[in-house]
Amino acid sequence: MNMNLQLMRLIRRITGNDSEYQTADQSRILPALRLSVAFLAILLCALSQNAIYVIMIIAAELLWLSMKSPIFIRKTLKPVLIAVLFCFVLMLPAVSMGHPRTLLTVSMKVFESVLILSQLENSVSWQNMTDAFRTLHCPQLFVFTLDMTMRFLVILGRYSNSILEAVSLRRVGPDHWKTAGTGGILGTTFLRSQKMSLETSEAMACRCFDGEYRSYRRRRFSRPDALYALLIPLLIALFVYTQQAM
Amino acid sequence: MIELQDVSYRYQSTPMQDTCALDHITCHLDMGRCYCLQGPNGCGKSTLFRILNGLSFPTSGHYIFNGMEITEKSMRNPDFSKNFHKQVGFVFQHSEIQLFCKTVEEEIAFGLQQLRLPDSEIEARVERYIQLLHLENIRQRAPFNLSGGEQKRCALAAVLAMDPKVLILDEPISGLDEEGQEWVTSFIRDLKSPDRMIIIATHQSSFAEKVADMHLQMTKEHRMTFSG
Repeated sequence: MNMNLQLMRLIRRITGNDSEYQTADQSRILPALRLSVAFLAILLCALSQNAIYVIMIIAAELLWLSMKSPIFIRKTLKPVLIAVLFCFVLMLPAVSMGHPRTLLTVSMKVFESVLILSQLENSVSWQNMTDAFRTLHCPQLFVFTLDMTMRFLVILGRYSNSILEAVSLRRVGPDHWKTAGTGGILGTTFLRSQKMSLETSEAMACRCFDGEYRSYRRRRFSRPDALYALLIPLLIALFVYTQQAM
Repeated sequence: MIELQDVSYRYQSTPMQDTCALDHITCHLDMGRCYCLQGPNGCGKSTLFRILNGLSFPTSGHYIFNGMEITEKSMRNPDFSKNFHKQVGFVFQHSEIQLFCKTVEEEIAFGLQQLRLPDSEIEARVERYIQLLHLENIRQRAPFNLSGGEQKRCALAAVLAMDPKVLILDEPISGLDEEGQEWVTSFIRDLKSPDRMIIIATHQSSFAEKVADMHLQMTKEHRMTFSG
């Protein structure tokens, strides 16, 4: 038991997840590569006719997850369990119609897909994620819009929170003020967002923005990336093998 | 370098009423000097800065920059507009709006990338301005999560990296603590050079006294007066 724990600690150290509060930006693998592998794994799982393939991927994912901190595991599994539960309820009529295997297959595929996405979300920051889209040659407009949306969500969220605090400090008297206050917050935030987007576009114009949105200092392909990239042929080989074995 | 000839600016405040923001302003601003623009709230300082930055255009009169008239039509030409903005740097009053990149170093590199400078030059300039404005510890952080002082330094670095001939600063010390104000004051003093013009809007007379070579005073009637 003790030896097992020591072994797990060692693996955690090797995988670079020793810190309880590891930030998303510390990943050593290129975000574009992680995104590609995640996309491929989800696609192959969706295409797979053999449950063994899906089970193997889930097992590998759970093994990887087990090496993470309890906080990370909780954050990752929460949306997964909600999604699986929702899927289970939706697919429940399939059992009464004589297709219990469908319930299991679909639930497993949902579990696998959401698990991969949730891990990706918790280990790659949105900054790196949009960089990954750029590396994968997604349209500049899409990447730019995504970047700006994330930024505005943070700033406007902070702004509406301040108004909410101000309203709650002044909220005395009859209850209907509460609903009126909510409308006011939404309206003010909307107007503020319009003003901010105009100001941002002007600030960009002042810095010679001509529509091209490039990344600064792209990370180079390193040895850990090369090792991680081996997952691509491995996933494809496993998929082909399990489909032929049916 | 900058010449305003009888510039007026009016806008429609209500469907039935025109409001005057600038009233027949004429002035000539030279390179190598630091101008401080002061005046009460609502006197037209921000409107004047918008005009100087090519974001708004006079309803009458002419704005001449380096011998070229800046009009809405000329600014619609991308090459002209790019060349103009390359020469005029603007630090907004609320830096949060001006900072839109994902990290501080990307923020500084943004304008340089738009100018199509070689990567080595971009990296060298980013490093130089990170050092100059003491941004080493926050270079990888998202600009909108920084404190007010850090945001101001980041915005300054992003604009200065483009090496503009004219630097326009809107309320550069507003919202900063005493230490931050002192730092900005000495930084602006160091920035003065014969081939750079600095125009600053401020409400703080003590700050204006410390940095200005010439004071421009806006009145409640939206007119401009000068003092040495």
